[in-house]
Parts: sequence; C-alpha cells; structure tokens
Amino acid sequence: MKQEDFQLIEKYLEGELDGQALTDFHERMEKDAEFAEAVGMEKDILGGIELLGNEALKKQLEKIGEEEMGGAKVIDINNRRRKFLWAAAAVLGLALVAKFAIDTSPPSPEKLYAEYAVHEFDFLEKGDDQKILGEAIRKMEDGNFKDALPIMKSLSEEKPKEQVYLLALGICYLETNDLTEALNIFDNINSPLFEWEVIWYKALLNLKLKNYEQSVQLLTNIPSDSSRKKDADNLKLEILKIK
Amino acid sequence: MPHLSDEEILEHIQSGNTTKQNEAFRQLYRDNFRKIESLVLKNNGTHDIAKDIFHDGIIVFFNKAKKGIEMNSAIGTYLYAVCQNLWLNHLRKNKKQVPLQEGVEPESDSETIYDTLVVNEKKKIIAQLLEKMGDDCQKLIQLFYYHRMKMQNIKEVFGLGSEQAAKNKKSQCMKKLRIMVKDNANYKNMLTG
Repeated sequence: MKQEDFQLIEKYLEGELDGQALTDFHERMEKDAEFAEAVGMEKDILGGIELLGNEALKKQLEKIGEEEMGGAKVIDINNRRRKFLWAAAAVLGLALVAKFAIDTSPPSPEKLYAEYAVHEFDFLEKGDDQKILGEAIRKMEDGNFKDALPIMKSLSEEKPKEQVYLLALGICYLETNDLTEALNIFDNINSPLFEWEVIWYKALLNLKLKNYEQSVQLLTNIPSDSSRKKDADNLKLEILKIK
Repeated sequence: MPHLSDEEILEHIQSGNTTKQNEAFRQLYRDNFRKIESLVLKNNGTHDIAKDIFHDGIIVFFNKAKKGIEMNSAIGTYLYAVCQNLWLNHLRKNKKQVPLQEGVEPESDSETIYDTLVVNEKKKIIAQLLEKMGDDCQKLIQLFYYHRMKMQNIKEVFGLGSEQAAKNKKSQCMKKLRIMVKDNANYKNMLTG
C-alpha cells in the first residue's frame, strides 16, 4: 500500500469523500481485498487513537475540575438554580403538627399527609420560562396550589419533555384534591429520574384516598438508596398504626 | 480569564491548539458542572458519578465540535442533553441485572453485541500499542489526530524545520504504528475471530 492510499483512506474515514470519489472508493473496496483490509485496520487505528485521547482528556478534565471547583462536593444554591422546598404542614399550621407530635392516638390520614407531603424539587433556569416559573414557585411556596396549577399546566404543555414541570403539576392536582387527574399525571411521568418520586407521591395519593394497603405497598417499593427511603419507612409504620 | 462566548469556545476547540482547548474546557466546567451535578445528585447519584458523567459529556462534545460539525443549540443546552442521556443510561445499567436463565436467548442481537465487543477490544489493543511507541510519535499522533493540531503548530512543538518535515515525521510514526498493529498477535486473533 502506498502513502497516497492511506491518505485516501483517512479522507474516507473522515467523511471527506463524496460523489465519484466515494463511488470509486467503494468499488475498490469490493474488488481489492488488501485495500479493504487496510481500510478496516486504519479505522481500528483511528478508534484506538481516539480511545487513548479520551482517556488522556479525562485525566486532564479531572485536573481542571479540581482547579476550577476546588474539589467541592456540596452544591451551592445560587442564582442559577432555585430549590423549592415546601412543607404542606405550613398550611395547616405548626400548632397542628405539634399537637400531632404529642398525640398517642392513631394519626389521621390528613395529619399524616400534612406531615409527610414535603415537596422538594429543583427547577433549573430555563430562559424564557424563568419569569412565569418564578410566579408559580411563589404561589406554591404560599400554599396557593390552586393558582399555581394553571401556570404549571401551561408550562408542562409547552415543554412536555420537562418532566419536572409535570411532577409539579401532579403535586398541584394532589394538593387541590383532584386525585384522578393527579394520578393521571403521575402515570405519565416516565423519566427514571423521577421514578421513586412518582411512587412516593402515589403512596401519598393513596393515603389521601385511605387506600392504606396500596399506600404501604408503594412505600415498600421505594429502594434503600432513595432519598425518600427514611420517610417511606416512617410513614409506613404510621399507616400501619391506622390500620 | 475573559468569559468565552459559545462561538469562541468552538473556535478554541477547532484551533487544534491544546492551550486554547484547555481554556475552553475550563469555561465549560465553570458554566456547566453545577447543573450536571444537580441533575445527578437529585436522583441519588454521587458527586463522583456526576463528575464522570460530566467528563464523558465534555468528551462527546469535544469529539463532535473538533470536527467542525454545526451545533444546533447553545453549548450548555447540548452538554446538558448529552449528560442527561449518559445519566439515564447509567441508571438503566444499574437498575436491575436479572441473570439469564439457561437456554433463554437474550433479547438483544447477540451478533451486534459481539461485534461491538470485538471493535472495542481492537481499539484497546491499538491504544496499548500506541502507548508503547516512543513519546514523540505518541504525542505527534495524538496532537494531529485527536486534538487536530495543524502541521504548522506541530512543526513548532517538535522544533522541526518545515511543515513538510512535520508531515514526514507523522507518516513515519503512522507507518511504525501500522506495522506494530499488523504484527500484533492479539489484534490478528481479533480479525480471525
């Protein structure tokens, strides 16, 4: 094989051949076994170069990461990212929670829901959505899920791929007691990112419906590595007390 | 360090100049890592997994961008989408690995899986051979093929008299590598299956 042949093969592998040149190349590959073998080997070589390059780049990125981020392992809540944490207990009032804490009688599903329905999710900045999303978040923080609902509905219709919007919409339905619609929304969330969140909310929904067995079953399904696991175990024990 | 626009990041990457490429990587890190970390931590991933996912995402972006392929979205959006896919793949892989029962054929095309394994194995063999080459050849090949450094710059890096001298050195190195590959027993085994 000549040097020109390798140059030609490189051009082919880089996708730089077209028209007649490409047709000629394919014909030569079919007729010339040695040439075809050289094409295969050159492809492997470029693949090997890329593999080694990727490994070296990864090491370089490790170094850059340490220098740029200082090895920090904690997420900053900064102005690019808004974390929304709201406890339904706030609406019912802290007094109710305090009363519940010293009450030895079996808790009611309403009280349990109030204690455990803590909504936590991250909204990443989404350009044009930011203003309208901010409005929805403020309403949810105020416990005004009724008014937040149409905003989240409109956002999730505009951006159906943003499943965090869908999750927020489902929570709005759950909080406003439109449980059929809430379940319908939760059933439509298919991202593995929210798999356990959906199960958690379905358990809360069943608690509201007083389907205790179903709720316990769902809580049992939450895996040990989920951030909801501890709450799931505690809630399960509380529900069993009602039963 | 001045903030680079998307256009400048692409220019830096396509320049083939490793110093400029590093500047672009730093900018990408500063602008995007926290978002990816948040995505991963939100679903019980760890900081280290987030870092791996982010680094793999940058590598995917780099290998695309250096070829001058047109980007249809902002770099941050593209990187987020790539990392999201990498993270979902990671979750799928780690979800449930049910052992196959005897006599049950896997659903995937086993021939395709085998082919992929062979291709990956061949790449590994070649990467190892490349590591065994002299430092100069290994560096030159990486700079030219991986970083897409121009011959003009390679000439300067290696202190060569002309671009032609740089081209000749590259040809010699590639010739040496081809011989090493062709003579390698493991590589030959891969070809014969």
